[in-house]
Amino acid sequence: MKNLMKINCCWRLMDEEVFSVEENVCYEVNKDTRRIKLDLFSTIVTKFGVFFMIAILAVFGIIVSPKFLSGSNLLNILNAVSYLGIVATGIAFVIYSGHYADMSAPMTMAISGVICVEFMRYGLIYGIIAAVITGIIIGSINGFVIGKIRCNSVIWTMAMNFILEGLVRWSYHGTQIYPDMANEQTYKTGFFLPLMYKLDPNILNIDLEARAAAFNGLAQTYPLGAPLVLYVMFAVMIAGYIVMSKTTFGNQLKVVGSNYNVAKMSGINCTRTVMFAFIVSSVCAAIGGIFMTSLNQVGAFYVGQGYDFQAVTALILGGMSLAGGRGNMAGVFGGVFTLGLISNILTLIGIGTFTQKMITGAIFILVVYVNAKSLRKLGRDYA
Amino acid sequence: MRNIIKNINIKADRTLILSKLNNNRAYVLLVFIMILMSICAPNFLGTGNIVPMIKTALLPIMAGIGFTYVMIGGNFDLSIGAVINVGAAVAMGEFNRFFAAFGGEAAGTKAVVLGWIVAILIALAAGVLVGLINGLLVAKGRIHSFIVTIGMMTALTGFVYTYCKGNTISADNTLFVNILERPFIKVPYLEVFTIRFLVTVIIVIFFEVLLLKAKWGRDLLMVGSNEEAAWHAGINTQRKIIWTFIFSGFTSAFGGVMFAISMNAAVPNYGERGINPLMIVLASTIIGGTELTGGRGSVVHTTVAVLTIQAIFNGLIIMGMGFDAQVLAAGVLLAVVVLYESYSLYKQNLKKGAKAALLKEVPELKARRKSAC
Repeated sequence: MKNLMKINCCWRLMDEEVFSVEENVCYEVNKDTRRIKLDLFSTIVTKFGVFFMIAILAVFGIIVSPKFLSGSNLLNILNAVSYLGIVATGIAFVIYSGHYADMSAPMTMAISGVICVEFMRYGLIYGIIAAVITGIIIGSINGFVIGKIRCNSVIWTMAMNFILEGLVRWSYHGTQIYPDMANEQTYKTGFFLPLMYKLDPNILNIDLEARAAAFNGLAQTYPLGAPLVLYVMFAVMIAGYIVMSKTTFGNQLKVVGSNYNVAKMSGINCTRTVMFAFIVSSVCAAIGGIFMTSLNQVGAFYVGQGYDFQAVTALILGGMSLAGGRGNMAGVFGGVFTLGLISNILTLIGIGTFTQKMITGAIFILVVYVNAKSLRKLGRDYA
Repeated sequence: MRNIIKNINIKADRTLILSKLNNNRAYVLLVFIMILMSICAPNFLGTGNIVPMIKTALLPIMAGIGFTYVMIGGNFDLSIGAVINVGAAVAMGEFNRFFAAFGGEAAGTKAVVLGWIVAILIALAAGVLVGLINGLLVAKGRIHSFIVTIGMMTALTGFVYTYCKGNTISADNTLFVNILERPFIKVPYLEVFTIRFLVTVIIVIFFEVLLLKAKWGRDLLMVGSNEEAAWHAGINTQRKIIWTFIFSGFTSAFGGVMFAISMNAAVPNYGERGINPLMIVLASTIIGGTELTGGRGSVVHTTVAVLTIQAIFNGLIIMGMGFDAQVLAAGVLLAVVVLYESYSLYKQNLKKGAKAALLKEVPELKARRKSAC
């Protein structure tokens, strides 16, 4: 025992000595004077991100066509991407939480549009509420499975997408639903239409024309000269910005996205956080779906087709990292706007839709490559 | 003491049987679905159903080979649907071009044969090229495979539409068009044996042997399960991953080529409005037991799972449920399998680090607490 004590003392003494030595050393060595050589191009790319791209595209657009800078053209670009903007804002939360993508967005859009058309018979506001509730239900199922059971998010949401597609197609037997149709045949198919008819057969005699006009007018109202969708997109994005960067939930989401295990160890309720992210995503998709259905004036299973990949494209362009925890709302807007700009400029040059798709895909891969490479050059990303 | 050992043995046996069942769940499901469908749907086991069922499954089987390889390497390839269309369209379009170049109808059979050979080679080369680009971007560029293949899918969809100019392409000469679908013998059930079927079977067997019996495949399994360990063991991991993508492009394009030739039509939007081949392939790869994170899987199991899904589809058609029910059924099947897979993983993770002796006491404690209440 005594020996042990001695040894302990010795160690302590040695510790102190070592410490003092270390202090001296620290004192002598000055600051590291070697300058870190920063790649200029990489710095610009990582600092300004997508806005660097927008600047290049804008210069290109001005060279290509004098029409490009006119107010109506810019408004057209914004109007065209505003549906995508709403959906992308929601999916941004999912990518921010490190869960790759919400592939169930297209069918969430379709199904909420269909349900909005069904419940619109009681009044427009009921339709919108029903659609949003649908979004919340789908989001909470996704969130529970992915947040609690830790399913692979891409594959689960894909499966969810197929189930929803099957549900819509099955209940409508492959047909579509029009807002202004109210004959007896309409009430034989659908989710809630047969139930509605059973509860109250008088629903056939409702004056549907005015309500259908109100619903179809959603996408065609222009308060203050700009379409309503644009205002909604900006509102959703500002709300998303506040939630993502100003609230506790947003900060927790960032930690969960950056490192799931650290978040769990530090006492964050990961399940709840991830679940909330998926609910936000689905609700945004539902809002986008309502407007999309109103634009098409028909509810069908193909309403939101392709929006999942487009949204991911826009988000990655906007600087979101698939690893999670990196990106912001300004980048989301930038990414969405970039997609609009590309398609607008290519249309101004006179290139067809399908060649546009080809070029967009190529630009996407190129931009992601440049972005990933410059991040790695600056030592910010070890992936 | 003996009793305890006996009990443990019985428990171990049970888990062993269960795990064996789980490992071979593709076969189990196929048998189960076959029995269920032959009870529910009349004439399900007739030659009029089985032969078309296998013929329709050939395209997803081909695409599934490459998809399984990519997934074993730990990546995703979402571009297979687009590559199938590219293979189909390029084969048809190039045949028409070379048929005219070799002399057209006047040159006779020679022009047709030469045209087909050149066209098929070009289409396969296109698939390999797409796979090579994907693989280089994933392995050397270090971009997530999900992003790369999404971008590739968008680009290729645009390419196919511009190549076809939005139309359906058919071959100008129909001499050899039906040769892939012509059965060797016209006997019930044996009508399956066509050139297309045999080629598919040979490719499936080749890739299965390459994966499970050859050193190359064992190395790939190691790369999939632990890339760093594989790298330390002296395996060129990047090259392995590039090869998986090349195989994926090759098999998808090959499937597309054979599909187009046997149908004599190449459409730019195959699977866009209906059931996407990507969906069938994804579902069957997971049902076949390929691990999502890589490192485990089998081509034959994927093939069997494709047949299972196709059996469900055909059974539903016979039962008169229609096309819309197929989508729902495939989605539910995929969801159930994914849920089961991740739930068992979740259960395992709960037990991780827990001590077996302590776990044994849990039921006792619960019983004691109940009696105390």
